[in-house]
Amino acid sequence: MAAIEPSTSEPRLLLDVLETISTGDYAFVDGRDRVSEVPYASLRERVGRVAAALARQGIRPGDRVGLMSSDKRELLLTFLGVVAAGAIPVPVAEAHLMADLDAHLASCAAILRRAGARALVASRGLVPVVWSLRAEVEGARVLDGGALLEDDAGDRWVEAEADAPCFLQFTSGSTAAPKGVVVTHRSLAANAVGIMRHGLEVREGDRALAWLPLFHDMGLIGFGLAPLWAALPVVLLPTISFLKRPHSWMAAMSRFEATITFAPNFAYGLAARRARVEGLDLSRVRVAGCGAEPIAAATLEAFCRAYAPAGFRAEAMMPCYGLAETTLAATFAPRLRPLEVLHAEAEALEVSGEVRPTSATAGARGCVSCGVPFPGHEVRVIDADGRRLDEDQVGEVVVRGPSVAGGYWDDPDASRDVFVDDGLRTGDLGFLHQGELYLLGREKELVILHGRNHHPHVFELEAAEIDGVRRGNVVAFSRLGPGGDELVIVAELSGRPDRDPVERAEVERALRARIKRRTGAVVKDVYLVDEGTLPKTTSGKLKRAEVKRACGGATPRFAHPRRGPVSLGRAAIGVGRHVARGVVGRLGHLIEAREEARE
Amino acid sequence: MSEEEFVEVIRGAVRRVDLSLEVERLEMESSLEDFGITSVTMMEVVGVLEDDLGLRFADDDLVVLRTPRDLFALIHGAS
Repeated sequence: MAAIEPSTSEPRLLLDVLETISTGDYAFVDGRDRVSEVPYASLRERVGRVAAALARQGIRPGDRVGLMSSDKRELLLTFLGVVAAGAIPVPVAEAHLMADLDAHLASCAAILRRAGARALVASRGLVPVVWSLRAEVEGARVLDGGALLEDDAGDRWVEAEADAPCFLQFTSGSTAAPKGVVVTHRSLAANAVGIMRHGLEVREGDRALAWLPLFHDMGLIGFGLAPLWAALPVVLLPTISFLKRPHSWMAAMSRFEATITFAPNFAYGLAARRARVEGLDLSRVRVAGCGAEPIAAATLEAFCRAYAPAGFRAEAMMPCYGLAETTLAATFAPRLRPLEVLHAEAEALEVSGEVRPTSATAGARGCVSCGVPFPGHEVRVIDADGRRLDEDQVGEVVVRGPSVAGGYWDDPDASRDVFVDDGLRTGDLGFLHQGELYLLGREKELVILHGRNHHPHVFELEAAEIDGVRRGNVVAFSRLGPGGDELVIVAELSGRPDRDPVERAEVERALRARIKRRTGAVVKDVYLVDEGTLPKTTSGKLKRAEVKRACGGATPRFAHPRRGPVSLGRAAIGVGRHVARGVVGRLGHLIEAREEARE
Repeated sequence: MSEEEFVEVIRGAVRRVDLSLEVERLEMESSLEDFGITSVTMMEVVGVLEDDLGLRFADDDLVVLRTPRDLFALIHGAS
């Protein structure tokens, strides 16, 4: 086992960085392209005032304070103010167009309850809307974020211990059981230094730009907090600006002469399809990072082709791997290297879990390298029994090092399963090849849609409420489609095997409508199968991974809903069971072992 | 702009964002999701409308957009 190098010096903590920073600034761009700058050197004073205002509102050290705002200036300044007050910020997603308000507020309330929040700071426009949350979260108050920033009397600065929580990052859209990752001051500092110094190698003249939301770790840490450790100037655009005009992202990169940006895979796909390159100069861009979602080489390659006429260099594309439980980043691909895509025999990869490099042919699966861990960190791959696997063997990815967060808030059982003695069990499947990490699938239990995590159970429970669907016999998963991650539902129909197409269509329609209404998610494909067809373990648990494989890939065993019959033959199940001895069995063990541990 | 004209503007904007969507039968009260219009598509449709109509919707508006009528109401609140 490779030894972890001792870090040469303890990185400085957030409040310490704020006290001494002298150069750089945030440039906040609004929906009308107006820019307002906040010099980093002014943060100590501004943030101290916000902290004093919070204290006057009764916020005490250790209190959890929810934050909800689509105004990035307000969100960052109140976030830092809460930290300076010695309290613990809990960013929650802001509501947006098309969101189902009731479902959204229910999920926020669940997070705030879980965190035991004393207050929710919301932007002025949201205050009337979130008022109802007071009743849902016992003892919580709603504070106007804008008023906190205008309240300019006093100064408060509560120094933090390195192992104290800095903030809580909630990782799941599930209202049933939201999990809050405790990002400690130490893990934040370690990860920030890793990203800035070793991942990005920030230097004079760099400028970072992002439209990412700040309730998510990639935006908050990557572009709100970590840049402070390197005094890296940052341009922050409204998230909605990118969603309204995907071409505006690269236009802003050109206009602000930015050199560094990050986004999930789906955003690169969208920006590529909507590319407008006339008049753009992207020759300064040296890092276009991609993470938070499974990475499709074809998507990134399409982006590179679309923006090459504007001088975008393909070697700027930098795939990364990370998760909230490692604070943000775990591995970075080496800088200024063309995308490293390893083509492996799909059959060997899936059946025996072995990596057999091959050429880019039909039976090959292209895997994108996510690079290497930061100094002082280690990534290894283990089998279902926890044994370390050699290179080119597929297993669960484990990360060790100072960036690993401090567990889940108020959830010792979940923490014990994941934050183990010798590292973080990521639940992600991958392999090492020539020292670099390749991911095959992100957290099999999670459904990731547009960078947001959902527990499949949430969709499955909703689908089971539909008349005609067999309760407990629904599988939800996401898969990577041309436009990004897509939600797929496979459900067994109850009773007669010979339902007519009209009945099936009605079940499908009701299922789609309910899931949209209750979770906000759009279902891409619905597969309705006959009773008893979904594969299960001997203990009666659904084999999600196997069902997912049966719905796609080179040899789909479930017919596509719009192209053929929707039932699954018995023979096909036989094949599925046979295959299950291979990697599906291995996958299944990982998943089932964790499920059982949780029960 | 009449409601019928408005719906035609929406149909045009949806087609420009995603050619594969069939929206001939989209009406003022239709459910956008029934026509396969996702939230991501809808955001872009809003962007196209803003550019075409020379408007800017307030970014922090909390709007539930389920039908073209919701969008119609949004536009009447825009500057």
